[in-house]
Amino acid sequence: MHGAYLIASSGNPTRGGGWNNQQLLKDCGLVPYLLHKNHGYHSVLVGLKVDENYPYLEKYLRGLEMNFLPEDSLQARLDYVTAHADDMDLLILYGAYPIYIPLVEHYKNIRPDGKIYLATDMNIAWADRLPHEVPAYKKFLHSCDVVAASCRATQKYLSAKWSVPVDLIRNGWYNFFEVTFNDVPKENVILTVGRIGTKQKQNHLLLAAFAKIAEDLPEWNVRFVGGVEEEFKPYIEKFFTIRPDLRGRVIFAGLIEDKIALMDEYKRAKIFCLTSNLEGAPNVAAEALFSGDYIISSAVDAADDMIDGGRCGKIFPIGDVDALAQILLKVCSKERLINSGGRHAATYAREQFDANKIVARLNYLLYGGDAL
Amino acid sequence: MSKINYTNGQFFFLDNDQSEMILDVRTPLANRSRIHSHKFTTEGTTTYPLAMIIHQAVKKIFKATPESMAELMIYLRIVARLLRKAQIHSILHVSERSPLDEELAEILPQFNPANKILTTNKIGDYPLPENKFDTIIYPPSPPDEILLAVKNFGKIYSTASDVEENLKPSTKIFPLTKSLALFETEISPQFRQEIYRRSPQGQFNEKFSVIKQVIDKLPEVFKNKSGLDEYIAEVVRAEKLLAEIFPELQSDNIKFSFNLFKESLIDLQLGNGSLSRVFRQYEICKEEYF
Repeated sequence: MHGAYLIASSGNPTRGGGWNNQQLLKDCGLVPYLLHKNHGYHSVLVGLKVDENYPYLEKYLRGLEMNFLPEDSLQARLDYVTAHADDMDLLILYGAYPIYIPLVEHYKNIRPDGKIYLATDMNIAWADRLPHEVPAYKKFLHSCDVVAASCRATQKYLSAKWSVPVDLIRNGWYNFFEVTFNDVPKENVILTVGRIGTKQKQNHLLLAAFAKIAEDLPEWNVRFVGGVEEEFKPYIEKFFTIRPDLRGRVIFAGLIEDKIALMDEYKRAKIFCLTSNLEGAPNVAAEALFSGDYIISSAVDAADDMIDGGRCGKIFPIGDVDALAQILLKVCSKERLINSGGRHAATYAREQFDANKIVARLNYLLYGGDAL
Repeated sequence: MSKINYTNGQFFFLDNDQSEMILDVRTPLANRSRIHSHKFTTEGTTTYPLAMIIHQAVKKIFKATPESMAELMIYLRIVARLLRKAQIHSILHVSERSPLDEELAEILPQFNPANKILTTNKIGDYPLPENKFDTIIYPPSPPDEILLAVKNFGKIYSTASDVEENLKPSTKIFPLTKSLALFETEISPQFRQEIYRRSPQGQFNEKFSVIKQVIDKLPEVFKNKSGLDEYIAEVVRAEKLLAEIFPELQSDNIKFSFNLFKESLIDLQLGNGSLSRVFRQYEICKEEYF
């Protein structure tokens, strides 16, 4: 049995040195969990204790362990590696942060036979910030046995930039909640899911685009699912002041914590729309694809992966309201396109975004034929 | 009139009448514009300023990343020649934050005291000492990264015409019209020989031939219908070798294609792929390698 330890980065602004309960069901928890469940690893998440309780751990991730660090410091991580080196056959790192350099060096000193999986899960803009030509960073990359990107565009970009092989390990989806599909009729809904109103998500684009075409698409509605940022609320109020006629057609459903209810939103929607100006490979894409949604996405790094070369969606230039409006108008008017695209999305998702298959490939990359 | 074009036609710059000039560079990196064209121009080509051209040109000449001090000096000699020939007055230097780029940013002004250098990395979070520059020159279609850099610099121009309006009256933005091959004549045969000496072709070929052999072996593996795991292990080893010699390769796509080839084999072995996909990737690799 391989011992796989995912150690949280220190001071990661999005993960804060550890994970909250919700995050356990994302790639950081999912990959170690499936390495355990499907491939027999002893998988451990190591980081700060961010939440008081972790109910998902017991409920959905049985067998996955969590170890908590006493403090958010490099020393705490080094000490942890020293203490658990015997069992630590695989060190998993999320994010290609230079702060990992001493950790990797330390691990390799103690366990030269140990393997390292580096999941970059980054966007291209972030990749440009990394000091890939600095010798210490190069050495760090070369110490990793598998370096992975989460979408083809980033993979290709990093392949051209870094002198190590870069593999594709997508952010997949796993049916934790035993969601059934094809049991909810599709409605004329354009859905978006995420933290609504953040600068990154650019949700105002969908509002503005829909406002342009709403009269031409009287049977269509828009649903925003997710908590709304405070600074975005005045924008929404102003929007409805100018377009009171859309009040019943543009719905802000709020944060839906019940995962089955959230998946129902995806299943009911015919179209999933992503308007971000910057994304790596968003988890919402896999959820939408599995639910058979036709995808309309801004040209973020993973956009091509989301629409499978146009077979299940369309891309508009980042920030281009008019282009988004035109695409929405065109797509919403073509029932056959949405239906065939949605069917392809569901098939494509099961081929390419199934977390079981993705983790199986990772396992093979790490241990080759011996893993079978 | 002075115009320079690197041998294969991929490097351009031009002026109009020996006044200030702008660069429009179509490098092998243009391939990458397909990946992230939204970050650059809408025309599918990537524009880079002079320092970037030369950086790429030198990579071509050395067939390696110039890292050592000796290589750096040759690199700078080329820069100096090009700068003098073109009478470049202002440079936007896009840094990759490598030590070489840091060095370059310091040294470039010494070749011509009139040079004004704006150094930025690609995303614009580099600290920019304002008193160092009085002119900013953009490529014809300023990529986002440059706009971001200028945002840090204190001004934001959203379009090329905005940029033009805000530059000094003597500064113009010129579209690329034509090019002239002068680069070849700029470099003496002795100098060229020295440059090539630093990249022993034999060593490169030896490593490269290993990869070719691995690719060539595929039909035999499937003919025998056994040993796929062992073959994949060979492919994995070859891929690491490929990554080592990658900077010397001429195409950005080779490494990526080889990875897709490996991936198709693994997926086939895991029951998620197809033989047709494997052979498709094999054909692509063959086309790119041979």
